[in-house]
Amino acid sequence: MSSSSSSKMIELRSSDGETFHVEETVVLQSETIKQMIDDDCANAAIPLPNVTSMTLAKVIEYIKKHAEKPKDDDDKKVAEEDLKKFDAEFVKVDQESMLFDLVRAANYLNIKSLLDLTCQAVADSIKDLSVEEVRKKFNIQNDFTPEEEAKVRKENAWAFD
Amino acid sequence: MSDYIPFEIQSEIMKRLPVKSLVQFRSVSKQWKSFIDCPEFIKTYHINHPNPKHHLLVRYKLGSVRKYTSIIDDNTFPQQKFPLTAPEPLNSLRYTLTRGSVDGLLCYYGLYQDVDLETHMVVIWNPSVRKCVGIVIPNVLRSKVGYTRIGFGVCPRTNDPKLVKINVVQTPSICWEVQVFTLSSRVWKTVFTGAPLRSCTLMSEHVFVDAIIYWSTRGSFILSFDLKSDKFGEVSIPERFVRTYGQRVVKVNGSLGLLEYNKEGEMWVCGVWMRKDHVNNPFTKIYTVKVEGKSVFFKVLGFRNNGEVLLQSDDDDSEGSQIEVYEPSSGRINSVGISGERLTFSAWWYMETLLLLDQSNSIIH
Repeated sequence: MSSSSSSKMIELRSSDGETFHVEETVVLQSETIKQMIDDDCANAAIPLPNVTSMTLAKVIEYIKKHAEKPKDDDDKKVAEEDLKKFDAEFVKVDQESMLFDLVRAANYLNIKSLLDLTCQAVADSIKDLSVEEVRKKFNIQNDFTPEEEAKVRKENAWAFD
Repeated sequence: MSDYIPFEIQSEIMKRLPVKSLVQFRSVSKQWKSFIDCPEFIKTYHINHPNPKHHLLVRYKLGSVRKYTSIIDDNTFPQQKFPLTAPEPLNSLRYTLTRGSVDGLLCYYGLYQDVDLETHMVVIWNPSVRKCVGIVIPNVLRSKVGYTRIGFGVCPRTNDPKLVKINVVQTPSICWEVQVFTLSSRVWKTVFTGAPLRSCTLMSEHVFVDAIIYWSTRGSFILSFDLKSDKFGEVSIPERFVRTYGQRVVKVNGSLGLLEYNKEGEMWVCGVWMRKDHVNNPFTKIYTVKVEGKSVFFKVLGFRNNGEVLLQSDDDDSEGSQIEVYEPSSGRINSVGISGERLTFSAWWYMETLLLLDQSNSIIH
């Protein structure tokens, strides 16, 4: 095993049994994994029973990109722009279920910037939906009686025009 | 297939929705409704939102009809415009003047006919949630006795809208009676009675910057009132502003600013001054608004979020005015595409907030 901490590799195991090797410095963006390493639970592969290999690969792509350090101030500006573009592309996923998987993974792994990014992407995708479509999207049971719902809508009827 | 998203994450998503979506989505479920209606969420939504929407509200008259048009202030400006209808009691207010815009709340002051009694009233309106509250102003002084000035701000700690009323009694000797009103308490509280620190003629125009209300005066200073401590203070102004009638306090780039109208030959110009970093720095002129080729008067109405200046400029050959936007570094002028009657325009910048969502359109006596 390498003695240099910068190149220390951490092994992650997805729910479907696939293993990934990621540099410790990169993986520390996840508060959850950081806690495990601090608690000395990372000697073997870290099991991530809530994250599939497909989602984990995407998450690793994200944290690797976000771990890149710019060399100087000029480079920093370029890197910031580059990162913005990367983030915008990153959440353009074909399957909506993938975006939801990423939100859940970001929440479970506690990676704040990824949670911010993916929650905003979901918010942008639902902001123009109808109430019924939102319920469907999140599997939410409508627990209002028809009278109650009509009353709530009437309180701000303008928003439904 | 829709997978299960725990409510904890649903709430993170809700925090990032625009106001109109949130108002609709109150009817998704009881849990969503109680999250959105929670007073703490209503107060802090705009503070925590990573990118709240900004608008400009243009108020003007066209064919003697009062109009309100909201323009989204982003990179599409001024393409996305939509008309707004003023709710009651704002719609019935007469001789109305806009008295400020803070945290998405616009403040209007005017006369209201309440059955057979005419009262002075402030109306606080949040156009994003279409809610407004009228507040009857008691004991307004007029004529020889003295005069009343009203200031509007939002308390930074509690996000509670606050009015400050200064009654300047002029006879037999100058005496100030100062009361504050908070929307949460719905009562007026006297915070000061007595002779002012320094006698001055208070103008009605004021601006709210970083928890402090600033009023122009006819003297060598601006009067300040700190909403956190309920204490008055003074801000010195450059000598050239003293006794000029055109001076006007404004908020420029988030700081306290002053406007100075002058004539350069036949041309009207307006100097924009700013006090940097809010503290005890002197005012410095940051640029001069010059409208080339126009001899007619223009008026600075306000500023866009990106610092561009909104102007009301009178048409040379008709009775109308229109709104234009002025780019300070290049001096370029673009039309916003709104025309109306002369001298009827005001434009105020506001951000989308949920404040007043939990209020009903009503009048507080």
